[in-house]
Amino acid sequence: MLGNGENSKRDVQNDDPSFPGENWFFYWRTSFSLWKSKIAKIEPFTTIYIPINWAFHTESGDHYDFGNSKPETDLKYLADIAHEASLEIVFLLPLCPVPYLANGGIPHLLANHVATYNNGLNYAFLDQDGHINKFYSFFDPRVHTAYKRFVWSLGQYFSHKGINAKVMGMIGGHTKRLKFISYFEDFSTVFEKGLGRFLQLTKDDSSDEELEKISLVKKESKNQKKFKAMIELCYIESAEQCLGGHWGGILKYSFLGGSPGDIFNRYSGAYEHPTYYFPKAFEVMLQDVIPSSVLLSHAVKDNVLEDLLKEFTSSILLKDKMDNGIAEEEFDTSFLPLRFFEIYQTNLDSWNQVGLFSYLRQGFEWTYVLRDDLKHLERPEYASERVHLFDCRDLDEIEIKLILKLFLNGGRVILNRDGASDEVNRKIEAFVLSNKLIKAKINFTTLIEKVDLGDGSLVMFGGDRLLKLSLSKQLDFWNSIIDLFGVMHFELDYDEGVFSYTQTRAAGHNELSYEEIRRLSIFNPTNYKRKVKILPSKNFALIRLANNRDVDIKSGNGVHIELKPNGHAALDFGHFV
Amino acid sequence: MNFMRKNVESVKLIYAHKSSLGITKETDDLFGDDSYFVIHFFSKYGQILPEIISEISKDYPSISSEYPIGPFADLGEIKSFSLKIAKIVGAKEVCLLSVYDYNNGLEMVNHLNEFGDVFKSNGERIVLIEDKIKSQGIMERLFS
Repeated sequence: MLGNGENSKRDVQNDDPSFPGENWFFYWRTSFSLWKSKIAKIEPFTTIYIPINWAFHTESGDHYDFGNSKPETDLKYLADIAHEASLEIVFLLPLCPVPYLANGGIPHLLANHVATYNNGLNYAFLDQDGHINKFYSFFDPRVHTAYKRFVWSLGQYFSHKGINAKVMGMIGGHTKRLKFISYFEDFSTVFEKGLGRFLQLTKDDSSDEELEKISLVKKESKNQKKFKAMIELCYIESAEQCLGGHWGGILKYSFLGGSPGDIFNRYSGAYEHPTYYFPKAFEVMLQDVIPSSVLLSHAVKDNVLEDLLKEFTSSILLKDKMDNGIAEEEFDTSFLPLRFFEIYQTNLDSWNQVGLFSYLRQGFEWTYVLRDDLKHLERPEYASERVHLFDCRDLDEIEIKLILKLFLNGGRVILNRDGASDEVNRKIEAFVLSNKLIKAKINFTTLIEKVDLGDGSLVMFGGDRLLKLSLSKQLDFWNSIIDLFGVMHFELDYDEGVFSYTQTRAAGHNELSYEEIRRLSIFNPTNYKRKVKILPSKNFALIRLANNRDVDIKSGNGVHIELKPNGHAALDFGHFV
Repeated sequence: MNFMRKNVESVKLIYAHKSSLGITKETDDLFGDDSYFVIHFFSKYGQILPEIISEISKDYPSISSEYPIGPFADLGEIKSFSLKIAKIVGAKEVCLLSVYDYNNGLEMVNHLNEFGDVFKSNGERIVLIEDKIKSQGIMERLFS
C-alpha cells in the first residue's frame, strides 16, 4: 500500500463569494475592511488573480474612482495587502464582455446595444448565484471610447501609485466543438452597422478576380472575421498602450457553464454536476486555454473538479509565463502539460474521418493540443519535440513554407497530402529536390513517404484512401505512423467515468537516472467507486505518490488504484528511454 | 446522461427564421424562403439530445438532428415535430417561442428564478390532446 486518502489543503474558503474559484478574488463583492483577513487565508507564495471590474470604478463612464470615494475601489491597498501576505498578484483586465459581471462588465450608462450570438439569441449567462448576466456590444464605438478612457486612467493610477503588479489582458470565451470562441463574437445590429462601414472603407482592397475565387458565403464570413479581429485588436492595443510597463500580455479563459446555450441546461440544475463539466474542462485544456469555474456554484466544484482546475490552471499559466520568458527558473521544478502532438485544424472532421481522434482516445487521450492557425510557427525561436500534424487541404504556399522550415529545424511533421493545391505540391517536391532528400516509400494501407534530415522527420501520406477503410484498419495505420516517432506513454486500463492527464518536468539533481519526470493525475468525478490499472512498463518507474484523496493504491504487476467517489490521485513516474 | 427518457411536464423550444442564423438568400439558396430552425429544445432535464431527435428522422428525412435542428418549411411543421418529440419524452405540453420573443422576454428577467417567466409570458403553449383526455375523470368521460 503506497498511500491513503488525506484531504488536500484548500487555498481559500470555498463558500466565500469573493473567492469564486482558482484563486480569483472579486474585490467588489466584499467590504475593503475584510480584504486583509480574507486574503490572509490564502497560502503564501501563491498567485492571486484580481479581475478588474470596469463598471465598479465608474458611475457615469466619464470619471473613475480608484479609492477616492469608495474604499472598495482602492486597488493599491489591495495590492499592498497581497504583497504583505507574500502573494503574487495579477490583475486581469477583460478585453471583451465577461459572463460573471452584470452587462458583461460594461458600465450601466453605456449598456445600450445588446450583444447577440450567431443564432440570433442575445447572450445570457448564469453566474454562481443564479444571476442572469447579459452582454452589451463591444462594437459600439461609444463603448470603445469609454474603455480607452478607463484603461488610460487605470494605467495612470498604477504608475502614480507605484503598484507593483502586472495587468494581464483577459480574452474570455467558451469552447464549442473543440474550438475556443471569444465573447467578442457578436452579431448584433451594432456589429452589422460597423461591418457595413468597414466594408465600404475597404471596398477596393480585393480585386474582381479575388472576388470570383471565393464564394459569397466564404467572403461574408471572411469579412466578418477581419472586422472582428480589427476591433478586438483596437481594444488590445488600447490596453497595451495605456498600461505601458504594467502590461503583462494576454490570457485566454474559457468559462465552464459559459457557452451561450448553457443557460438552458443550467437553469434546471440537472447538469450541475462535475461529470458534466469534467470533459468540458479537458476540451478547454486541449487548446492551451485556461478553464475557469467562476460561473459554477461551489456545490458543483467543491471536489475533484476544483483539484483538476487548480492543476490545469497552474501548469497552463506557467507555460504562458515561459513562452513570455518570465519563468525560466521555474521550468526545471514545475510540471507542464505533457503534449505529444500538435494538431492543426480548420475543420476537425477531416482528422475525425481518417480515424486520428479514435486512435488518440485509445492511448494518447488529452496529450495533444489543437491549433487553429500556424501563427506560433512564425516565431523564430519556436522549437518543439512534439509531432505536428497538418492537413494539406488547409494550407497555402506560405504555410507550407513554414512547415518545411519547422522540419529543417528538426521538427517532426506528419502531412496528409491529399487535397493539396498544385502550388503546395510543387513547393514540397521542389523542397525535397533542392535539399537532395531521399524519400523512403511504404505502401501500407495508403502511400506513406518519409524523409529525414538531422533530427527532423517528415511523414507524408494520402489520407483519402483511409476514408473508405474500417476503423480498425485506420487504427492500424495510425499505430504504424506514430510508432515511427517513438512516442512513449503509460498504458492505462480504467473504468468508465475516470479521467486522467499527464504533466512533465525535467529530472532534478537527485533524479538523474531518469530522462524526465511525469506526473499522472487521475480523477473520479462520479458517485461510484472506480478502478484504474497502470500496466507495467520497462520505461516507467513509480517514484512517489504526489497527491491523493479518497484513493487506495497497491503496486505489483503494475499499479492498481481504487478511487472512491470524488477520489483523486497524482503519481510521479521516472521515465527511462 | 439520459435524463430525457424520464417523464417531463413540458418541453420548450426556441425557433428562428433562417435570416436570424445568418443564412440569407444572397448567401445560400439551399433552403426555401421560409425555412425555420429550432435552435434550442429543452426540458427541466436540459437540452433534448440529438439521439432523441433522430428517432423521428423518418418523418423528417431532410432535417438535421444536430442543433440548429431544421430546416422546417413553416411553423406548422415545427409544431407537429415538437409534439412528436413531446410524446417520446412523455411531456404534457410544448411551449414555443420565437427568437424575437425570447430576446424581449430576457430583457425583463435578471435571476434564474425568473427565467421560466420568459416562456410563460411570451411563449405559445400547446397541450397534448391525449393527455387532455387522460386528465379527464371517469365521470367526465362517460358523460361528455
